[in-house]
Amino acid sequence: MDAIEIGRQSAARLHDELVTLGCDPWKPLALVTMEADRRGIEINPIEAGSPLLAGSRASFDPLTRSIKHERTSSDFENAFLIAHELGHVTLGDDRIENATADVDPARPAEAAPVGEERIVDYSRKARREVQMDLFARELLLPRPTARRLHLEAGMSASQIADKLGAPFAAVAQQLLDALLLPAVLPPSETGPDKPLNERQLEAASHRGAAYLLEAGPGTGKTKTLVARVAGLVQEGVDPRSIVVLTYSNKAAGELSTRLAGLNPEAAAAMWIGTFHAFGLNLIRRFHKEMGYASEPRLIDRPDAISRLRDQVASLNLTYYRDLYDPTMQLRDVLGAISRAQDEVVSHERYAELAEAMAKPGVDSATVEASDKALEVSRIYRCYEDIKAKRGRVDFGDLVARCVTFLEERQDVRLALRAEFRHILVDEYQDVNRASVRLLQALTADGRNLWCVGDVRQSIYR
Amino acid sequence: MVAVPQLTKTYPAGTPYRRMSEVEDEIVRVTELPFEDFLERARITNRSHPDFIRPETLMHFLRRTRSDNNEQRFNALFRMVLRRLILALPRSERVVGENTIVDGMASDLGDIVRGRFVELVTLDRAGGDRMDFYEVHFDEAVAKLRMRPAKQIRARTRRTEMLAGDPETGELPEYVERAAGSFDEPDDAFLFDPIFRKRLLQEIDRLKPEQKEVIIMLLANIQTHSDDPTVPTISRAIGRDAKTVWNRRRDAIAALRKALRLGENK
Amino acid sequence: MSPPIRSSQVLDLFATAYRESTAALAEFLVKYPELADALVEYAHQLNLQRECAGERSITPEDELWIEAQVSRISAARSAISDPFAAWQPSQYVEARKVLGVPAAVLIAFRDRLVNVASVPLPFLKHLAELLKVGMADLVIFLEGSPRLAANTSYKANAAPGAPAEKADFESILAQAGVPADKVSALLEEDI
Repeated sequence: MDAIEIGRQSAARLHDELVTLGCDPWKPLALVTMEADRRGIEINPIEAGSPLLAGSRASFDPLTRSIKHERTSSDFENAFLIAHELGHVTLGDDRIENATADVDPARPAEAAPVGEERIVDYSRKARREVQMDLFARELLLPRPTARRLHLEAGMSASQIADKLGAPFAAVAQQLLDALLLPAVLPPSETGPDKPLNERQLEAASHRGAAYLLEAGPGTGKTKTLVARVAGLVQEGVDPRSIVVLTYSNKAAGELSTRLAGLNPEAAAAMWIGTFHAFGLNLIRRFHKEMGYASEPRLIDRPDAISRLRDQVASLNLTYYRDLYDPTMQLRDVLGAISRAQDEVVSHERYAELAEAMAKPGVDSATVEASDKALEVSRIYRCYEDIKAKRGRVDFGDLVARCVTFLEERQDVRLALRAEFRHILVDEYQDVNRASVRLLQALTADGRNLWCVGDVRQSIYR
Repeated sequence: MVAVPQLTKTYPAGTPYRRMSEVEDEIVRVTELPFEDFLERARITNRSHPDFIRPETLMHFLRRTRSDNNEQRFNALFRMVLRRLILALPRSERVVGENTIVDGMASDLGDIVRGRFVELVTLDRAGGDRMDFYEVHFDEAVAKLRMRPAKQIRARTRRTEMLAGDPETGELPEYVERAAGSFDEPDDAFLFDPIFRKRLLQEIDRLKPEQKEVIIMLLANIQTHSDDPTVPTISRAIGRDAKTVWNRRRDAIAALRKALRLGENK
Repeated sequence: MSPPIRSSQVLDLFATAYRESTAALAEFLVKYPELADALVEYAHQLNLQRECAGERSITPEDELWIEAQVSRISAARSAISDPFAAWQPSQYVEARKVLGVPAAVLIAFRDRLVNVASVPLPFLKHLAELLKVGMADLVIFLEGSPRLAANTSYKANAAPGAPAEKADFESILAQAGVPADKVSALLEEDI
């Protein structure tokens, strides 16, 4: 279960609570107003286009504890905007960055740009914003309710939409999710895992410098990682500043579920995912700074091959030219490029390395290898052009581009270090060079970096 | 010749504030001066001196620094303007015989007024027309700072006058006759006597508010009351009947005579 | 609809007229009866000033006071601090009640979205008192460019950004949905 699902379930629980307290579920505006009142949050409707909105449609300010939203003509839409902000409130953003509270006295005093000098990065597709939109929809019309209204009370999506004052599309989407997505059971209120042994406890409670817990399979690595995160949250660390990076989506989901069992709101607020997902989120947030006009989309292998195939004729290839089926060759080349990306080697660097191979005095086999590599570098460059022209990134770019960006931009590095103050890595044995450099950029020489892995098991050997 | 930019604040009818022509001419003449010479002349406080520069002119140049953001110039001009502020205020000490009596209340008010002025200048630097009138009539603008804050000066609800006339004879009671000037009233002659003028004004400050306002209006030759609704009267202005006005007038005059050691009027 | 007449406009006009003739008091009392108290008081101050004009000279204490003012303003300019930095949620709650404005308006001041010149003096004084700073410090802070606060969460289609221009106090009140009668009260100037 991922953070988004955790968020949706929080919303559904909240909806039920409010209905129990007497709120009419058919009055979405009354529902969100009641929740805001309960939390002592003021709601300020603002004229559309006002500078008070700063170009947004709604905002929540934890200092004044108030929600501003564009005053629209639809009660439902107003309720939705408020509900989105209530998502922020519920899932961890009702916190003030207190400069003094979380400071680690041993940490070097870097001038992290906070407040107004911060680079403004925002992406509505950024995971957290998606999380809030889905929270909002769920709060106003939970999936179980939609399901019940449709299957038991026989109401169509249009009828529900009319009665609720909601747009048809939103209701239809909730209904589809309710009917078609497998039901995800809410995390059982599990107590803590079996207690940690001494070594695990020591590992979980380590603070400060970089730490690697080397442990083989079945040694309770995950249990220790979960315990560490829980410990940090208990100490008062802002869950939004915790990042847990895994190797696979499946592993991320499992960790997320386990943490949700302990503290769903904290689990929803922290980042748990793969390096590539993390990279994608960074690219979306900082796409403007990275030089993209709009958020880049992913290009997958088949797409890449077909685009390259069109261009390849003009490259005058010899080794990688297959008149009958260029695909095979290109697949191999792309594989080589992907490995280069794993090492954060650009096409220029690739060409340099290729040329360096053909030093005077080497044998003809090496010369041929050098020429082949040079050809790869030309295809590599062509590929980079294609991606740049179309505003696309591929899988390897998700980490590699972030690495080059962060290594160039000290201001962004400092901002991210201030934002992500605890980084945990699962399955450390599988991290490649690019991931390592990303971790180096994100942590100040490994401070508060905590890794666990079975180093004997690496796939990158 | 470049015209001096117009002031932006407007009077109730919509006409913009206008500086006196003497001030505008002076601004133009003085613009030619090197800054050091200008400052020297600005120090002169004797109005009859040929090189005297009016405070309205100084205010104009002070406010001009808003656009060029020149700290040095602002500071130098600010000093000069503050001197003119002080000169426009009454003293808070009185010399009585050989003694100098410091009037505590007046001294406090002096501090408050100075504080208000500095606040206004600070605010005015950010823009706006708050201080436009200081370029029109500086001293009068300063006098306004001595007034009580707006909250304390509430708009009164008007009460209709009640003339308790004798229903049978139709005669108006005596006090009304007196107020209308039908009796000879010498007791207030001192109000218009220039010898007492300054002391009088200072003592008026000490009167109870309801007495003070009656006296001020008397000094401006406003009648206490009139049947003619178009004639301005004290009665209408403060929303009280003629009897009340008369009583307050009587008490005020008695208090003033005592303060000025004029003796009781028999 | 023409803007409401400010009492300061009437008083300034009165002062100009009173210079010519004290009969102006009677005229103005008839024309502006609601300002009777203010007119009478101002007339008195004008009398007093005319009588006492020119009796003063600059004393050494005055010189000291003048220098102190110049230093204060210079100091305030060079050390611009954020008076809102110390405020916690409880202070914002109190300010809302005391000043009678929604949170959005306070945020507009905190983030410097307001044109200082458009804010009435009484409101600024009140706010400065609540912030426990001098007026000069508050004004100098507010003159800075608009900013985007750090901790705010948004829902937006594009990246939110601090507005390029400042807005007048009156329009901010209107955009924040403050009712018209409350707006008039908030816009009241000092005399």
